[in-house]
Amino acid sequence: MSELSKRAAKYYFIQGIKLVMVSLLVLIFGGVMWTFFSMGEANAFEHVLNMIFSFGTLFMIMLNFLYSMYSPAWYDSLVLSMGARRKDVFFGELLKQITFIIGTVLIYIILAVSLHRPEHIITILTCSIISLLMGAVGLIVGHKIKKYGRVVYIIFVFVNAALFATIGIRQADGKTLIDAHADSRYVIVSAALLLFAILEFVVYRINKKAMVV
Amino acid sequence: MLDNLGEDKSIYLQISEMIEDEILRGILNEEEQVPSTTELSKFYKINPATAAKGINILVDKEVLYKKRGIGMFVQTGAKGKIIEERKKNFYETFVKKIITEAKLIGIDKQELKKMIDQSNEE
Amino acid sequence: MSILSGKNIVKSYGKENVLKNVSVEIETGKIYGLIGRNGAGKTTLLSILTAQNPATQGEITLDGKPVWENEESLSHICYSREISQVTMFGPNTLKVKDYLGTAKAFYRNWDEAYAKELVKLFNIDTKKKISKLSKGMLSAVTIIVALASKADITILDEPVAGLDVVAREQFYKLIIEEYSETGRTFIISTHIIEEAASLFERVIIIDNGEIMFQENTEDFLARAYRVSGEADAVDKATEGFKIYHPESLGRNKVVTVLADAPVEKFAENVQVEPVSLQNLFYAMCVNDGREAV
Repeated sequence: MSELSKRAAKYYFIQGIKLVMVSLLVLIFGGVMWTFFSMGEANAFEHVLNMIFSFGTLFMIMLNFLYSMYSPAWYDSLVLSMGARRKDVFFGELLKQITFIIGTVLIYIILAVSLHRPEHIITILTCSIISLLMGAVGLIVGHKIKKYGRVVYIIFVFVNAALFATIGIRQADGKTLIDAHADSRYVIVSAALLLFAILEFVVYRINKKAMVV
Repeated sequence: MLDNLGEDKSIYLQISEMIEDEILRGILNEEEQVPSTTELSKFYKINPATAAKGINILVDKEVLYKKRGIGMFVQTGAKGKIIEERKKNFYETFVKKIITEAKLIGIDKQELKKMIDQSNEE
Repeated sequence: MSILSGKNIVKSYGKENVLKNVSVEIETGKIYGLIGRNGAGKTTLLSILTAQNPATQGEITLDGKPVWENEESLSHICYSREISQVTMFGPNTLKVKDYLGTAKAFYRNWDEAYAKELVKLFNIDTKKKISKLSKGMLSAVTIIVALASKADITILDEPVAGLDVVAREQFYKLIIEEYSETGRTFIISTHIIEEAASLFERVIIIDNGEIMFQENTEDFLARAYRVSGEADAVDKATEGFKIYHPESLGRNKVVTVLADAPVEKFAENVQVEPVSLQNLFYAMCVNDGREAV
């Protein structure tokens, strides 16, 4: 691997680790917050754990999406302006996202295992694939924002708000985010992986002609 | 030292002339070290290559010489060389201007001579 | 000596041609000045030369090898551009130390000690966010990146834009010092022409997406003159020369002349003076010049 590739890989890996820290912070903050809110309720502990695992994994998806969306016009553009090649940016982004996802997944799996709640592991893993997918989506959206301006960003803020509202309503009904039933799970994951591969290809194409903002 | 460079002449010429002036005035003595290219360029905010060009002219004229590893020094006999050259160019550089201006405002040779005599007394 | 060369560069955005068949040659080991009006295409040209933007047409090479996506070529280049204080998503909340940290990660020859020295010299609080920096500090950061990159070919785009006169003088000193010590190539694009003119060994003038001149500064100015006098006399004396920006006040006329070679003498009845780079540039770009036959 060339010298520049190594340096770029190291840089993006560190960015990935920083994002894992953010995940950790969200987890701790969420845990504290839900504990506080469920004080005195029946089944408080169960409730808090459910919240942590469902929202926590949701955050994993959202965080990856958001950071990916920010990257083309901001961080990746910066890196490009400092002598990185476009292919370094492409692989770097992948490395960053995979580092983030694996790191976050590990934290939640450790949590699940130590609290004897192995049933959440399936949800965690499913969400990790979706997070990967949303990372690719985020990059594409990010490139569109870079090209067409803030308008695209505003549209997505609205879409996000709607998404959150929907999830909030589902939560209120006591359901977890993704009903990880045995059968639907496989379909979701396979579809997500396929879509991910296609979208990464699209990202590669867009990235090839990227300009510094 | 010049505190500012003018627009009227190439910068490197101004540098070499300025050093020659200092030699004439005794500010720089023979066998004394001359400021380096870097020092000159920093002082006047000019390109070091330009400062070097100015210095090199003087080396070619044998007014300065290089001591390897140390820097540029004033040659013995430099003052004399400079005086000789400037005397040769005096007419072109200064006298012609005076005559042109004198003609323009109608001062004749007599008046000019008077002015020169006056200045000698000062 | 290496050559960074751009041949027949065309850059269009849709129907608009920002660069129209531009060719430049940058020889290493020199300080270049790139001057042009706002919108002339300076930044676009520099982005394309450094492979930060793709050209619509044209070839960019360093020592004959393409620059685009080429690690070897890119490792010799640093293009430090204006940092934006806003992003598409709001204020630029990146901290100075993270910005410098990214530079450190990507510039092969980054000199961290030198960077720290410069941070101290310019008195920058590296914990500050970019959106919270003053104009002067913003310029200082781009200068720090450019200098500490220790890249063979270092390009600064409007480096003194936010600096007051004291800081500007400091900047010129830094460039001279660094150049004296290392012989690095510098390309500086600036609007504040006269202060920096004596720094430029070569000057590139760009106007309306085309290169008007790229020459040794001294040789260039040696054949530029400001000819003034009575209108007819001036016209007669400057016949056959390229004239820019003729101005009249009463019967007095002033023109800026750019000859093909230094002129010994024009005529007796006109006054001839040299022209500063700034005034020459002004005369050329203020759009009322005519070219002689």
